[in-house]
Amino acid sequence: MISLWVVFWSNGAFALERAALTLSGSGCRLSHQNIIETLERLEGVTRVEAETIPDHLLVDHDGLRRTEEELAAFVNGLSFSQGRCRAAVMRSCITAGAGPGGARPVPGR
Amino acid sequence: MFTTHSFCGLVLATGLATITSTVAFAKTHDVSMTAVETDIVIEGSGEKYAAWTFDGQMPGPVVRVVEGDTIQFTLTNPATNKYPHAMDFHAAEIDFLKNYRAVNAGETISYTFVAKKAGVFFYHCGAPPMIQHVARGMFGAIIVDPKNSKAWPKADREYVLVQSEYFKNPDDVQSMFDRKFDGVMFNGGIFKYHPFVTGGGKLDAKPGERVRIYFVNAGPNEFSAFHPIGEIWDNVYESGNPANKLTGVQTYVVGPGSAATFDVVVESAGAYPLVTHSLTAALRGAIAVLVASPDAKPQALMPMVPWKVTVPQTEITPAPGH
Repeated sequence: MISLWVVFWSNGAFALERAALTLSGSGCRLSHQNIIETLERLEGVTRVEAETIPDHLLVDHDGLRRTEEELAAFVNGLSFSQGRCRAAVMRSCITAGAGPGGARPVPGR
Repeated sequence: MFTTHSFCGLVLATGLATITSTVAFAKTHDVSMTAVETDIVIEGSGEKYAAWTFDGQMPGPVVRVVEGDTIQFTLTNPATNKYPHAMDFHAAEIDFLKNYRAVNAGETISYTFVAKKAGVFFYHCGAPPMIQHVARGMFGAIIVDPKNSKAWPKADREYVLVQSEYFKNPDDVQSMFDRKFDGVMFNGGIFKYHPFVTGGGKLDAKPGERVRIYFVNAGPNEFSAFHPIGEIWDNVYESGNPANKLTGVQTYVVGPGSAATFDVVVESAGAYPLVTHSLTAALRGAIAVLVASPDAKPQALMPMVPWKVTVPQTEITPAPGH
């Protein structure tokens, strides 16, 4: 694993966030590299890790420009994947923290 | 630092019809550790903590010997330190008064013990207040391998995991007594082996491998309910002794100051988070994701200790202290 992180120290305005995106669909294999390279060019994205967890992208970003949902939506809007590789935010029982706000409803509910 | 030298010992096993002799080579190990009061990285963001450590790392180095071996131990408390420190090995059966006393900065203490019982054991500083010395990082694991290596199945891969609580203010001893922890760590890091968290890594295995986890709960206060998500422990060995064998265990409680050895065989590729099912602890740091993949590479017994986070300096990196 590459140990290279652009870190803004705790006394700075923000710290890096990591978005975990699940990829699924018949077009993922073909568009995988394009998705990574396009994400890496996004302002605020410092690193995209595609090898750590199969079928997942780990996107390190500054958290100021996009939420993780917006990063997933960005991937889903890429024209070259033609809707055949869908990204979703990975949420599970090991999602870190939770915050005092409790569970988040499905968007739109 | 560990050095091993010499051997002695002869074990004769006598049967009714045959006489079989087995030579067991009991070794003597010189184990030296230094109490180091230093800042260490405890989060993937690079956040540092004013720790007290053995040899500058949290947990301290893994000591590994074979049942019957002798350990000649020396603790050095350098004159540059501010506080007294001590060492208590749970693998030892020796007088507490002579051996586990705290030594002041600029002093050393030495003692010798025989690791008579196989297992995985806690070691920790016992200087007062012990709750603070443990909370700040003075703990580790000693593995005493069974003299008979066939006492349990051979492991394909081994890891040491030490659970401990994190208190943001290392000087607030009252919060330690009140159990007001801010996080829970495996091997001295919050979400150190959680790849979905910034800076987090993982533990590796290949499908079908028997993965052996030597698990120590340093505390200082909380119990661990150790559970493999998506799997079942094939075997759990209380205190890591092959004689204390349980089979088919979903969750096993390890109290503060205790330890156990866990075997899991991951059948298929994927991710298997190892957690304490005490969720206030898991969701605040005590999650280690075991990723099973056919191309898994070998890893250290305690990966990412110390946790090295490289911080490239750029024109927008704020200067420390600002």
